[in-house]
Amino acid sequence: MKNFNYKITDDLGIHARPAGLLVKEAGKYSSKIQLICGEKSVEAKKLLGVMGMGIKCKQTVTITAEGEDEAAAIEGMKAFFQENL
Amino acid sequence: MASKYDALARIIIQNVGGKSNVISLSHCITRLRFKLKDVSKANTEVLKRTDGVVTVIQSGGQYQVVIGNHVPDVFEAVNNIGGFGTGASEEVSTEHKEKQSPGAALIDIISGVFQPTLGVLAATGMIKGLLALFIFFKVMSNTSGTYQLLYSAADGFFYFLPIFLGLNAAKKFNMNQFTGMAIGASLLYPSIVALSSGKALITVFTGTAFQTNVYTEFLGIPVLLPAGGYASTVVPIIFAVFIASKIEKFWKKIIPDVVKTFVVPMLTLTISIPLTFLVIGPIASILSSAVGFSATNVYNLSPILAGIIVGTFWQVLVIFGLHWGLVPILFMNYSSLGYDSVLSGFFAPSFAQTAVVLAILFKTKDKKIRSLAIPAAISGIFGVTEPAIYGITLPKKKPFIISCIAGGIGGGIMGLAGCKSYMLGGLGIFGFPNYINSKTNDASSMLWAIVAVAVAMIIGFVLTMITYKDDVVEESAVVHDIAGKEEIIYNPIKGEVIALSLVEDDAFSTGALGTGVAIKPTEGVVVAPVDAVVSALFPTGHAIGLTTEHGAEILIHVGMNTVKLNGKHFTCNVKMGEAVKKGQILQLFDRDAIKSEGYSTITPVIITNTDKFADISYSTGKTLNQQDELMSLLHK
Repeated sequence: MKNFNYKITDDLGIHARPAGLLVKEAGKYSSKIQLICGEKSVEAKKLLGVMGMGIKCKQTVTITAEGEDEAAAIEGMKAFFQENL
Repeated sequence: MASKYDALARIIIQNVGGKSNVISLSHCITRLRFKLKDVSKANTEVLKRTDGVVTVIQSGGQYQVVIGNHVPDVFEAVNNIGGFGTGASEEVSTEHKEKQSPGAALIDIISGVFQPTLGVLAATGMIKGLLALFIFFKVMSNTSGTYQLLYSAADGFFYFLPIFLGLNAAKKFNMNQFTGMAIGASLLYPSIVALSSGKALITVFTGTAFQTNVYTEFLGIPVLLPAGGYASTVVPIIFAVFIASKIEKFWKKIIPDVVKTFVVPMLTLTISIPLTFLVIGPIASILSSAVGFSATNVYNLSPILAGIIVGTFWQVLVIFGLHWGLVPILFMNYSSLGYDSVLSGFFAPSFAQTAVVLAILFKTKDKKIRSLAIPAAISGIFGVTEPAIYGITLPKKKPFIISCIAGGIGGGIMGLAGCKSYMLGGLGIFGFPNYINSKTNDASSMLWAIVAVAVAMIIGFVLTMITYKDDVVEESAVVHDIAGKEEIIYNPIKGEVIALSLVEDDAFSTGALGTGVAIKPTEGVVVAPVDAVVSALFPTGHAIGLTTEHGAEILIHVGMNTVKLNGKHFTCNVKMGEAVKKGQILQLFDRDAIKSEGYSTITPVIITNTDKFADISYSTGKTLNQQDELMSLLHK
């Protein structure tokens, strides 16, 4: 399992639009990808779950990936967060 | 008939590899579902690019061409050109065959064979019922030409039923349809029918319960004809065509192509028809004798038990044509005793059947069943129960069983009361006078018949009201598709429904967030589109996610970029994780205030786990009220 932390810089947090993009990105990999924020944790491939987290600006999230392509998944997700959030 | 989809239909047929590459065709709500011999012959890319084809999906051994909501019209056009048969139910039952018990498989075959005839069956049943009404009230005489012509219009279909069923059975068992009809026709050929009224050649099984007169022979083998002949029978033709389809397959393999077209049917007919008469005739006559024999014996043992048994199984016997084993008892008793009480139990079942159909009529929301239940109930009142049995209760199985139970209880009451019938007159409600002794005017039997019928009807009605459910799976198994359960999503916000692609945010318009529609709200109220659990609630309250009990995830996102309002103008009435009922208010928003701040209030309603569904269909361009049907989801 691999993981990384990221501090959200987007003013609006992870709302519908970025959540959709995030889920789309996560869907590219076969690994199990989790999005963790505080005590809550959801599967990054489920849009409603990601949106339901209500993650706001300046919160720190942890992304974990576990599976065959976990290295690629972590790289991809890292790039996605830096670019969009 | 030419249809505007003819051109599209031709393109589709051509690109699935031509007519000869198609094993079967059916359709569901939005797709043509082909079974192809060789999928590699299909030009998937060409089809995908064809106007009028949304896309092509291959799954579960099916080659699915997604068309849209007008698929029935396209299906018809494709079918007219390709002649693939009416498909839908056919394929389903062959797929199911392996998993089913023989009884259930037989029921499915019988109802499948009847399915294409249901409209005409209901119509002719109605004509029969109305004619019975006219006769009873002496509007018409049953010897008048008018009556006889109209009666032939109704009874022609019933009498020659084996021919029509021969056609459908042939389609089902995948053989030449005209060969199937020819077998049906031979069963009803006038000189064959006339045989059983001639002089008996010999009598077989003399002195036993199975004593049968033999009127003719085939190559020296005695041919036994069932007591009532083959007119109006159901099961014999299905068996005959089934066997013939095997024979046809065999000949098809070994006969050279040049002469196939006429030699195969020739050999199939000359073998299968004598075989039918030689095999099915004796089985049917022995079984019906056995039925008659046991009915008399059970009656001697206990009239109540006989009533229950006759009442319970009468309709089953009718389906197999075995009730003809009982009818002779009736006539024998009329002539020797002047009355019959052995068979009184058969009176209640048709009423029970009608009551069951009436209950279904009350409870069903399925338009197709309803439109069939009305004529089925009306003709049932007049004793013509075929539309009810073959169109509704038998395919659904449980209602048929209920009608048997209710019929059995009615039969038991008549057995208990020792009801006597004095003649075989009218059917259904016109059957009551049969229970009046015309010599003594004793109507006590009729009173008991009324009690028995009332009880049977109440039981049948109540049991059906309690247990009947529009079974989505089963319904779609007959009409649409077995793979999926359909889930309807209702409109959460009053307003005009537009295509998602028209939304000015490409996260939505490209379908990246999921498939669905958008609504231009005319009111600032969002209600729950279905019973669901609130599974996502953005802190600003502008978007709400729901998960239905079947797992559909719905996102209602009010306005574009409204996340920037940070909750202003939004009031949320529910909490995360709360279970909500369809129609419950979820959130309110101030439409004008949002607009005046420069935001669009256009609200996408999308299914975020689109990949869980085989199909999502909707129509746009209409203004819908809250809770009108918005989308239909087909579960994978």
